[in-house]
Amino acid sequence: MERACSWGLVQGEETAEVKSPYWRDELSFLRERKSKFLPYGLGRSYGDVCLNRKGSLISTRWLNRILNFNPQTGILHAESGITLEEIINFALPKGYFLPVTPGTKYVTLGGAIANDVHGKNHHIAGTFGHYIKKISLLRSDSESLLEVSQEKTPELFSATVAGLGLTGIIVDAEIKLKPVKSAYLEVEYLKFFNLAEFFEVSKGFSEKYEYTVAWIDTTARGKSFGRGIMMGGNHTEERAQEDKKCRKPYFSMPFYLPSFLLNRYSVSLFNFAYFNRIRQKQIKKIEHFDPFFYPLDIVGEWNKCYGKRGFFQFQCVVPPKYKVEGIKEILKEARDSGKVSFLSVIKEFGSKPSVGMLSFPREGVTLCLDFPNKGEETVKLLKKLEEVVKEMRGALYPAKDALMSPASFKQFYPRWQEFLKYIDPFFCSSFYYRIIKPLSLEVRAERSKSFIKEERERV
Amino acid sequence: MSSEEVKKEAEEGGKEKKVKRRLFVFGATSAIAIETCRVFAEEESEVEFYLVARNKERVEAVASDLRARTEGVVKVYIYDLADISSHKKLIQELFNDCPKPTDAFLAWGYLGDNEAARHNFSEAEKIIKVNYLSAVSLLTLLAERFKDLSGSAISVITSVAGDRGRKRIYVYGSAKGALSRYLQGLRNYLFEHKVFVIEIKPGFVDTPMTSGMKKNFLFASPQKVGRDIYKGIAKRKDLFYTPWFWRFILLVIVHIPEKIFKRLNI
Repeated sequence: MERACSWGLVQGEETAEVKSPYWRDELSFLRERKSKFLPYGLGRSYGDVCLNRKGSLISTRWLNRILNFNPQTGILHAESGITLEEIINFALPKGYFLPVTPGTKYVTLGGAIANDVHGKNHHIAGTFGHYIKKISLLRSDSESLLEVSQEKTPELFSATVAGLGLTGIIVDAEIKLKPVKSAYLEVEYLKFFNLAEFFEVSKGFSEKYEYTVAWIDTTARGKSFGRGIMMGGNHTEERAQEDKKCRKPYFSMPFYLPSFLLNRYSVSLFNFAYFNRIRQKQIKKIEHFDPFFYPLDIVGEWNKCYGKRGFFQFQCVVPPKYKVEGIKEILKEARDSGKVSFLSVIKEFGSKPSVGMLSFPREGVTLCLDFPNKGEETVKLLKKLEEVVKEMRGALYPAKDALMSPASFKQFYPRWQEFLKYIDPFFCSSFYYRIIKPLSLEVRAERSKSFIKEERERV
Repeated sequence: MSSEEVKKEAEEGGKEKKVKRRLFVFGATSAIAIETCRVFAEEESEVEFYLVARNKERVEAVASDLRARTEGVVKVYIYDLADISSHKKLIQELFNDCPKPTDAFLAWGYLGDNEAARHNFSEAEKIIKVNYLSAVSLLTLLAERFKDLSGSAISVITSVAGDRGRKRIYVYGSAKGALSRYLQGLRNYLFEHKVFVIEIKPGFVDTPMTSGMKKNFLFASPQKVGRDIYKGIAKRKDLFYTPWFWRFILLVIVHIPEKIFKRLNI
């Protein structure tokens, strides 16, 4: 038995075994159908989408080869274990960058597809899945690799993107990178002093900048409720010859911080200091891509800052209709509960429809909060927030989630039933057992009921 | 010419971007070889790779990866390096395609099962054949050709296990130890031809070869080891350990009196 962890550290789970194939031909064990598997990249999902307590894991860390790169079109074909960091280090000196990047570069290509990740440019570029041209998928029921693409197999493609690793293992994929001239961006930081101002500023920034996100102070009260710092950036042509590599972390957290250090008072203090670290209201400068896109990667294993009990990530999206009251209510609930979040970000999503059946990003505003795990009270708060999101017809992000109920998932992801058809019967995950299996049993029960009813009527 | 002058001339020859690196890689599907080649491709603009391995599909995957990373040519040769009778043909083929290589890198090995080798000579024979005999066979042929290539280097991966025999791994250790001794002599012989013989001694590395072993903090990643090997080969060092701290660990280990060492359980 081996122990695997997800990033939130709340759930360290035992898994039957971890297979680490070094070569693609070592994946043939799938066809033996002796166990149930889940592909595992770098384990940066927060909740249980990357855990498999009732089965085994297939680590893709050695499957990281580049199969082909076309310098004219920018299409990179690589094995799914290659990390976004490795892709950038390879492609940036050749004048290409990721078309969409999440907040950490320590994610595999397979993981980025399986969660259909999004980034600071969602309002223009949409999600990661849009840039995937082809996926080679290996299933327990296929003789050989399946070539999956939007053109040839649109449903399987749509099930695999954001498919949480349940439709089979992504062995390799083709991604269209975007041309850039430099490793630097022109960035602007602008303070806003309350939530209403955020929405005004955000609109302006979305028109001016390709990349936008705001840090928000969740502990501020009264007039300052919802204050924060808006960030915007565009690729620049300046400093075009410099520094075209990812930076390494300055240091790695050597131990788990004692959890009492993160409390209402220390976090309020941190937030106050963070908000006021920029004296001027506005700053414009040229910044390297690494600290702009990946500020948290500066500290290796930063999740240890939350202590051994770990933390919960709450990321929701609220549709445009309810954005103001929805965000206001969530922030109020969080603040009033005394549970504090300091790595809180807010961003407006664009309207480009996501590709995957279970893709999280959709039009509206997304809010991301971290809550140190203080036990029952934290769980209670998150359940309350889940209810608010449900009321507002929003959604929660499976890659971050550890607590949502099957009923909520059903509402958040109306295509869930369609997705069931594409799940490989020999793939599963802890998320699957918590959420999807109960729903599929419900469907089966409904079908049996209606079948029995029909039979009775016939007789 | 003094050793420093020889080194400087060879270094400058090898390091200049105009002088392309032409690298023969024996055992090109080994994890360490792959990572080392990737560093060569990253650090030097036009490296030519001549990859030798026995599994066609796997070495082609390595070749694709390197082709994307380097502007130089990447060629593949399918040979089982444990098959000594095929070495002459292999060397001929390589030198036909590349008459003036700058480097040869021997990176194949077989850890084997020391427990089985204790009782069963055929396993011991295999360990010795793959790790020592086949290496000597290839080195004999390579030395003959490389001695006319002033400034070039033959680099070979041995192991810290070869520094002292210990009960857990003495058959593999003896084969690698024997290879170390051979390389010392070869270095001595090729010095007058201005050819370098570089011995690389890795400690524990996290690769498929060690997949049966429980990993701990002493295990280095193949990426780290690959980077160290690149630096060592580029600088034309005679002998180095990777990571560096193994030098000191082994310094202690080789000096422990036998009366004490034979009682230890390491």
